Amino acid sequence: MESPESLWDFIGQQYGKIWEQTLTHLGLTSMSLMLAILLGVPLGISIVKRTSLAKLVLGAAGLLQTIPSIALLGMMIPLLGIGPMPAVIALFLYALLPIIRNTYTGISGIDSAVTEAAEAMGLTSWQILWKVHLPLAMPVLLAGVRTAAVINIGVATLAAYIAAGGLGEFIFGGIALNNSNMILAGAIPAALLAIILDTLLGLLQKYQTARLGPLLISIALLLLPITLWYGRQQITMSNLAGFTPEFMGRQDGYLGLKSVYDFDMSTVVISDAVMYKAIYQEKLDLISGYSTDGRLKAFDLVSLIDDKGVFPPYEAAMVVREDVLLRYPDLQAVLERLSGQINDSIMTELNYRVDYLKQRPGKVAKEFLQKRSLYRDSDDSSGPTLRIGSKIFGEQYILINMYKMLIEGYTNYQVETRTGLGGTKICFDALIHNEIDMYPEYTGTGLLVLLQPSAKQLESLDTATEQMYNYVQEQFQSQYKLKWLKPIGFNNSYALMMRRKQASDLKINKISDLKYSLYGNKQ
Amino acid sequence: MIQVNRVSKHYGSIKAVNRISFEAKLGSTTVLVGTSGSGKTTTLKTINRLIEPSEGQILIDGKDISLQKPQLLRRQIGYVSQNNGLFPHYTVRQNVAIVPSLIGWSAEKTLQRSEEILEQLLIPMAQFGHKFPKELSGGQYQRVALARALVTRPPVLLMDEPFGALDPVTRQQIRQELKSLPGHPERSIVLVTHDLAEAIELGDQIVVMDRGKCLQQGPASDLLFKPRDSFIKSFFDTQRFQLELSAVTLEQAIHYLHSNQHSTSTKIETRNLTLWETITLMEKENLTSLYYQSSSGQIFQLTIPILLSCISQIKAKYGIT
Repeated sequence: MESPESLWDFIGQQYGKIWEQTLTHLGLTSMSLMLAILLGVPLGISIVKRTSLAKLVLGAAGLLQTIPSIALLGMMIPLLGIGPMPAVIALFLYALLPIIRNTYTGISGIDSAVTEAAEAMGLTSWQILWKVHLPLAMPVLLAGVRTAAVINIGVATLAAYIAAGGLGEFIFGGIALNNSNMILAGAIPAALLAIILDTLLGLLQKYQTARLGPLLISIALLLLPITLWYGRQQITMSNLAGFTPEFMGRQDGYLGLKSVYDFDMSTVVISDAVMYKAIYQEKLDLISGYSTDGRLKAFDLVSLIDDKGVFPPYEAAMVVREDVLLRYPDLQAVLERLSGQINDSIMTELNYRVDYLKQRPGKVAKEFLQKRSLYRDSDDSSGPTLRIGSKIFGEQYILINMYKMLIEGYTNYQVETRTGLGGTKICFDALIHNEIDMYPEYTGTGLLVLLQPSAKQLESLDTATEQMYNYVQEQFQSQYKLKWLKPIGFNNSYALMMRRKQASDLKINKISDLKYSLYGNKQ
Repeated sequence: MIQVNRVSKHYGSIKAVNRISFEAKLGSTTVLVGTSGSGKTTTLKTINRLIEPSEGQILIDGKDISLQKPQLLRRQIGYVSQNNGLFPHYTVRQNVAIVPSLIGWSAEKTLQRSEEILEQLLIPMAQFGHKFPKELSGGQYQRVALARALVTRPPVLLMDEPFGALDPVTRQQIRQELKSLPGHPERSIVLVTHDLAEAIELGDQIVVMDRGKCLQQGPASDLLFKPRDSFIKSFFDTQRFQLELSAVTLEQAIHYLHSNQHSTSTKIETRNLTLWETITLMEKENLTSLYYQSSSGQIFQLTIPILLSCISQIKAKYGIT
């Protein structure tokens, strides 16, 4: 057995990328912190003598703080699109509350006798602010800046979801790929950044001073260079590809794309929750998605043909325990009535109705079966009960509803559905341990997640659709005594997608076409 | 000189200060006394425009202060409050240098004058200059506050219960130092206090206030021996014995004393002490009698019974029993 890759190996291979992500992360944090200080401190000062306004401002800033960070980032997209700008703005909004509140509290907490003495000696209100109020409020004010800095280092990891980069790329990529080295390579630098920034600001906080000048210069020296560097770093966003953290880290994703197609378009990492909207709004030109995703239809996208076979097929088929098929000999024929009935575009349409139009999976399934004249009412339900499982997403719900209707219509068996089975591993274990009798699975998942062949085996394997199905079917039969029924017909694999209009304008329909049309003529 | 002419301050329908008038001459100390809420502090703060009067007029050296820029006005008026007025983030030296820097003194002049005033108030710069206010005792703190107010030799000094938070011994010491500070003749002092002994000891003129109004004003002896009404009389009743002795100086008392021949064996006092101070001195030095040489050169023998009988005679003269 190969020894697993250690964290040090990972860092050794990826240190360039870690360094780049750390700088981006620090840039995001510093820039948003600078903006929050520049707005928050004057705002905090201005509300000191205006009690009702203070309530309003602190309330509003507090409200911003209660919005979950990922939701705040999501809200930025319609207004500002994706990339560093909405991320900086969202982080800035998060940093506002601690800074405004601590400025306000710091100044309000100053002994009024000191202020009165300052007035009585003839200091002007600017002199009072600059020589008395700000220096005395500074420890409290800086505590607010520290809080904001630490919050921002944490929230900035989420910037990776909207194509703003930072250490979140490794963290979320690592979570998606279940690669703890990758998670740590993002999480450890983020934690170190938080500790270092907090410590440096803490040193400034202890340095109580009658003069503000040196203090302000120190803060500026701490934040300004990285902010300016980051500001200059931002390229104009054109001809961009947006890929999920998981896709970026997979051999059958971005890595394969690079090696097989020589893919070298500028890419950003983005969450799949916002990716479709971003390409629809022309913030991106190419995304990674799933070929039967309902949003393909909702946002009028087209998936490109994988002409060099980078993405392995994910053909859907029912997986049943062999002992179940032996006990109920008529079952296989009934289940296979669905085989070959649903192609990619039909599945996309059905998913669109469930995921996007919010129709019930049962209703969508029934209408489809009726249209294909496969639907029968169930008259006799005196037979034994079969248990069908599914993973938690729309496509699987539709499929198991169809199978339930077929079984109940064509036999006297009853069907119980178990829809709450989180992921692949849970469904599979439930099937092996006789908790369920069958569930719909995909060949690619069966191969990569469940069979887990070594890299060598994978290389020798022909990933053409049919051969792959045969290989998986044989292995499941011999290793687990599980039977893959005939494929349903659609292939829910990774796909690269473009806006339909742009693709037809540029005459792109396969991935190889990209090279010459979209980014090939870039300088 | 400060002239306060019929000054009022209204908060809604409440008249915190109601037509107060007084004059504070150069070299004199005017004391505002009264119960809490009588408007004495409000009156004081109208003089440096920390509070703007609703009615009336205040003149300093004949100039209407409402026509001057408040900040410029305040730089010529020393101000000492009860406590916590020093800037906590400034050292003693920096605190004392605030007003000099506002009016553009050179660093050299500021340092020289700061050293001088701190020395007079027993806070040597070498020892205390670098200390922060929180490192000072209560007495040292108020001495620094006084130095800060006096460093530029302002013609007006306002004090709002400046010694209120100090223990009686320290309070007495600082009062003595204040009285003996050079430059007194070029200064008008207005002091707010509720300590009657302090009022009588420091005040050349005392303004008794109640609910915003002035009940009576004049020198201490007038208030004690010619009270305008029973309120004024009862106001001083709690400490009357000591206050009366403090209100009369030896010079005022000579009409009730008999001239004596000087005996060489006893001490001759030439300072115009109050009767209370004289008794305190005799107690301290364990004397049964003392000789006083008046400004006209006459010699009087003083004993405690003689001094007490002076008071009785003064009171008899004013018809008080």
